[in-house]
Amino acid sequence: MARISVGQIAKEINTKGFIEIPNFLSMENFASLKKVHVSKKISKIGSHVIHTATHPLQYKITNQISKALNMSFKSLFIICKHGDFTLLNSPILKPFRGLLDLSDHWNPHWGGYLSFIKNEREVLRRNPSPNSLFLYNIAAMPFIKYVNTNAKKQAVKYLFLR
Amino acid sequence: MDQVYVCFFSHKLIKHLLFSNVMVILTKYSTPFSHYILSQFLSQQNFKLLKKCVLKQKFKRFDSDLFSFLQSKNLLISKNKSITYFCNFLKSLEFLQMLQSLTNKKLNGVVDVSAFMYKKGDYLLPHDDLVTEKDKKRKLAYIFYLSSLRKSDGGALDLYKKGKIVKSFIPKENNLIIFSVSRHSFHQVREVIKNKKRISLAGWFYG
Repeated sequence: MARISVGQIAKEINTKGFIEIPNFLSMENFASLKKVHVSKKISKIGSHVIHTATHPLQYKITNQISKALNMSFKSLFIICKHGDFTLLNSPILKPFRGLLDLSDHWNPHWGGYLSFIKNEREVLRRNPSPNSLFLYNIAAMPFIKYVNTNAKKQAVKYLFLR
Repeated sequence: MDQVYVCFFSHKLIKHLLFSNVMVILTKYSTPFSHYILSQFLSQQNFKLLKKCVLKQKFKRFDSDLFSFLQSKNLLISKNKSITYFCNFLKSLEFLQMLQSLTNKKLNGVVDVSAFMYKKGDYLLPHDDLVTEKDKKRKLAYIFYLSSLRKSDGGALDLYKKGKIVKSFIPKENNLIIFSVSRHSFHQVREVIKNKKRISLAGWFYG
């Protein structure tokens, strides 16, 4: 796990509204965790279509992040394949304050990015970035952009933290 | 198919608006919500001219949580003759009266007209056209197709009932589709999945 002080993290979130910590997991843990298999499709018309999943390492890693950051996190895998998305009115992302990105190489033109909207304008876009921890505290509504056909069989894999 | 109408437009209007079809076949469907199809709306000559003029417009990419597509400016302010004729026809008293009598919707003569282009990967997710407060004045939505696609290309207009797709229209050039806007009018434009362009003129009639 990457070394960064809790104070530094808090300072960055307070000033910028977010922090992105690259190369967060050890290569071993990242390689294992990103092999998560899709288990369930959740669909609500006019709101979201996503896949969820579980992984044996999920709770261990979540606890490690909680300890490292001196915060108490719970986690949920959200996986978006071709055709998956969330809309601004979807309640599904509302509780979360961060994510561990377990995606592979990703082209932002395929969608799947996290966008934050305030007053009908995008105030922040976070493109998928493998093995990075993204923590945020932004007064804006997030959504995951529709994953389009150009992604083929690839998917974005986020371990969302709340 | 619920009802088929034959609509006769006055010679004066048709001549003035460059439309050579005096008679148009209109089909009314009532499920999952009221919608109407006017097939082969323009003469081939006028259709080709209109399409050519629309393709000369500048398109800008628009993205949100709900959609990804290219859109022209508001074509009501276009100075192009062919586009102006089409817009004037949509706003004409004769056409508005026909729509009012068909749909029982009171229209105030305000119409939006924009051109839309969907390329590979573009889409419009399920919605009811009443997303914001100002959308409440939308009474009828319309799409006039300027290109034809195959089912395997994507780009179909899907109509929903209780969260399920119950009807799909594959874009067919020179067809005009009109549907009532309400809390039940859930629809989507399926993602274009081939290297094809889905081009249309679309907007709303307000009331």
